[in-house]
Amino acid sequence: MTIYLAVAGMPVNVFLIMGLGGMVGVLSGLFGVGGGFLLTPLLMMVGIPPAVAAASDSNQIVAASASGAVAHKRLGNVDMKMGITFLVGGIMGGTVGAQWVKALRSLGNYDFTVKLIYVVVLAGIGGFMFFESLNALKTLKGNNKEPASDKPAKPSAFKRFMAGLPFQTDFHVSGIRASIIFVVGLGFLVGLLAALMGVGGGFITVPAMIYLLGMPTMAAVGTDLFQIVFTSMNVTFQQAITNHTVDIVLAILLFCGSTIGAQFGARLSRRLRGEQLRILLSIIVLAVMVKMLIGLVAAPADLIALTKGGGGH
Amino acid sequence: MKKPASILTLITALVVFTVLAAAAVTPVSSAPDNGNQAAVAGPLALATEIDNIDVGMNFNGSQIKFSGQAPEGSAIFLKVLSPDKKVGLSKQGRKGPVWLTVETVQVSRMPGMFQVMSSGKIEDLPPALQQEMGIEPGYPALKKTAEVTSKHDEKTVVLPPEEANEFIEGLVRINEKKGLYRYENNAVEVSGSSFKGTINIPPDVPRGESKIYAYAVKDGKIAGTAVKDFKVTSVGLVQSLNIMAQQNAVAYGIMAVVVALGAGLLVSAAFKEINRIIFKDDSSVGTHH
Repeated sequence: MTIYLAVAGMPVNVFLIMGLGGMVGVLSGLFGVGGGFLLTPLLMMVGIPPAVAAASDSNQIVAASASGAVAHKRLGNVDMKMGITFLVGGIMGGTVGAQWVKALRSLGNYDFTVKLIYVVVLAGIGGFMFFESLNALKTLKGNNKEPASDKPAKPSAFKRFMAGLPFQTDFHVSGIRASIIFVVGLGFLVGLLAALMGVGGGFITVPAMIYLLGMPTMAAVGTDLFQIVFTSMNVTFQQAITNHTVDIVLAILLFCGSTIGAQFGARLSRRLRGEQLRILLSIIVLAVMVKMLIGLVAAPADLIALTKGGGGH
Repeated sequence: MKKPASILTLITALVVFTVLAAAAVTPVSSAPDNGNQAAVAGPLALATEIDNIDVGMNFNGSQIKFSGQAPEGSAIFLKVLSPDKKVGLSKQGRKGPVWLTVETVQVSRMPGMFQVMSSGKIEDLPPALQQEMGIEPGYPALKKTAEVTSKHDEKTVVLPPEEANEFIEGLVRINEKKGLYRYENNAVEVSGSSFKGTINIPPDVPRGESKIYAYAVKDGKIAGTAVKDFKVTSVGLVQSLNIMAQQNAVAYGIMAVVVALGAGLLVSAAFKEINRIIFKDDSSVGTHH
């Protein structure tokens, strides 16, 4: 069964698109990642023009994260105060990042810079998470009597630095105390990276909340989903007015698939321990990193390709 | 799609419209714009089953059946040509250990669609005749007029042929893959003085008016030519979404966000019920802090 996409300008198989959405939806529900870093390349693989794939993916993430955030809110996993504080920094970072992208584009090195950042960031986060959660799982097996702490240990110097920052406040839902300045700064950094890499940034936010802020895994997942609702709304709107590349029909199809996947993922996440969840996420992050690395060093099938701008204006 | 019943009405409307238009503006020149030949009305007639292709939600490419009359013993050649379309291309290059985009260009003055169909083999025709019809294999006619430009420091530079060539070849490959550019031998069936065949219109067909040129070749020269137009238009939701996305981007953006948000919240509410009923899952109820 095919349907013709008005903005993408091509027919697609409905079930193929819904299947892709479903796959990514499971991840979204499980880890709170938007899945943009996976779905956009997948859509490009089935022939959707890159610009349309990225923009429609953001649109789909609005729906997926909204439904995921509500599900997590019911489970008590959303720290609204944290989410909003983080968002303030995130929006500032995203705005600065967008300008940075413009500047890099005019220098002509954008492509390389972005891909390099991608690989380095993914390798760093993925590698760290993988070994950290592996260790956590090992110690958990070693002495079963010790109650498992969901909060990994942090270097004390970092802890002292954090505690020394002004505007300390309690985040009750997460059960942590942190400086507002630090949270906003972290949000800013993630927003910057997300804009540079053209993604929602869930796979940076969740580890940052877990490891740098010391939030419980599930609270990080829920809170991230909550803030993604707003960032993806912003991205979708910006894409629609500047590039005209949001395909709403494509987004709805993706959402139909991802919504089922997300519910499944959210239920599944309750059956897994924080460490297991983190190790799974780290494996996915590392897999994406490897894929990007291969894309960077492997010769393309055809040296000449249509540009990301798609067809004419 | 195919609407045999309405063709008569359509033709009548077209005839009436043409007559009216001709009366209103006397010098209506309808010479084909690709320059190679004037549409000499010869002993060749070409008819198509449809002259309008609607691109709606269920569009997945289409077909145009054609038929016609030509002097007996002639070979028939068909050329399907769409208006020029500007496209952006990028070139990947190796820099150290990595592959990345080393150049981006714009290609213009290349048709969005170019198909050649023949009753025999195009290669059997004398090159001069191929050239006259603009159907030489390998698209030399298109490559000659194509223009490749690159932007350097806000200035647009036209690339010299030796640099432009690889982009033009690349675009041809892309269009061939999409079924937009093709050569098809033995695709026109001739019996006596009549001929027929089917043009495959791929899903990527450019919007707008395309032309079908037919040539009858007999005794080593063109014995007749005919031209027929067909129009590709978006209809229904495809058309309204396209127009809105392009011309009313702010409203479209708001709609996209609101629809997605609504869908997400709706689904989440629905699943709450489903979970409660099917999984007897009450854990989500009353956990508000």
